[in-house]
Amino acid sequence: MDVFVNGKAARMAEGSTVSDLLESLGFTDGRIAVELNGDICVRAQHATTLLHEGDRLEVVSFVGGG
Amino acid sequence: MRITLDGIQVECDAKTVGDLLMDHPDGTVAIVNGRHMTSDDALREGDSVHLLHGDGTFRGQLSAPLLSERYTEPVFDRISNARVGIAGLGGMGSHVAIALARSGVGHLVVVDFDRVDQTNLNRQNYSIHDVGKPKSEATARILASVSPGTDVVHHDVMITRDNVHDLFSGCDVVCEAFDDPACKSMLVEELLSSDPDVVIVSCSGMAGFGSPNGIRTIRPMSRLYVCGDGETDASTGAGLVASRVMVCAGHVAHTAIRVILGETEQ
Repeated sequence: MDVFVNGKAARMAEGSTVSDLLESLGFTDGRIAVELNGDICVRAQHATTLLHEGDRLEVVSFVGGG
Repeated sequence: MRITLDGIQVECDAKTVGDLLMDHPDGTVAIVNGRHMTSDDALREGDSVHLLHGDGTFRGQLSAPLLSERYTEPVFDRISNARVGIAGLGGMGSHVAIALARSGVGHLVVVDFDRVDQTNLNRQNYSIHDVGKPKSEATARILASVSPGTDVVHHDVMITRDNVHDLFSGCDVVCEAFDDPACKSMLVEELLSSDPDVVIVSCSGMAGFGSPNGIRTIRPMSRLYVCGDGETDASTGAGLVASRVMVCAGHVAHTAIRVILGETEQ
């Protein structure tokens, strides 16, 4: 299935979770914020949230300093 | 003609600002319709004039009408009624706080668990007199000295998943100004998932000597703005430099004000 991450298509196997996607794209969990189809998807839900064809995700990755 | 002088309607013979100032001590400054005017400037029917005394006498009640005339009343009303939280009071948060207070944001909630130390002075809005004091307390004192009309609530506490909701309850906008990316992620997740209305203005990447033009504001989610270059970590290269940190703090504060006014990016 295809999902869209920050506007770009990503091909994932059926049954993949948000965690699988983040890992395959090299995101470091714990310093990102994820939105799935317009709703925030918190870290505790990443491993149990299944992806579906056409899902749209926004992944914001933070670097340190402030 | 009739003008409003220090908030009171009066009949006035003066034709120019200079005429009006004649009866006042040297150093008195006239603010007409929210702007400085020189002695030669003409007065017009309906002008609102405030006289500021050169001896430094502070009249706190002036701040609001002066800003209101500068911004127009509807804009000032939105800004002065807004409540903005600032999470973290380091290089970013300490400058965001002062910019928001100067700009007339009426209610600020400032939170940090840390104390000012000497290594902070290269980039954070504190002085040697603040060293050893909680940053929240020092910030509240500095805000009171610049903008005594601003309602400031300060908390000397570490922000966690458990207390972040209570700390920033009722805020229209929360400015995320942490150092640690894990804390940035935590605040965004917690507030966006629990509060249906709050908007977060976050920061990511402002260290080093890179171009100030590399600092930009994006809106990756409907209620999340992120200011910074997105990549320059504080732990690499030159570390945090006051000037670039302040560019980013300016983005954060100004974005918060634009959100309050209903202006959006993208």
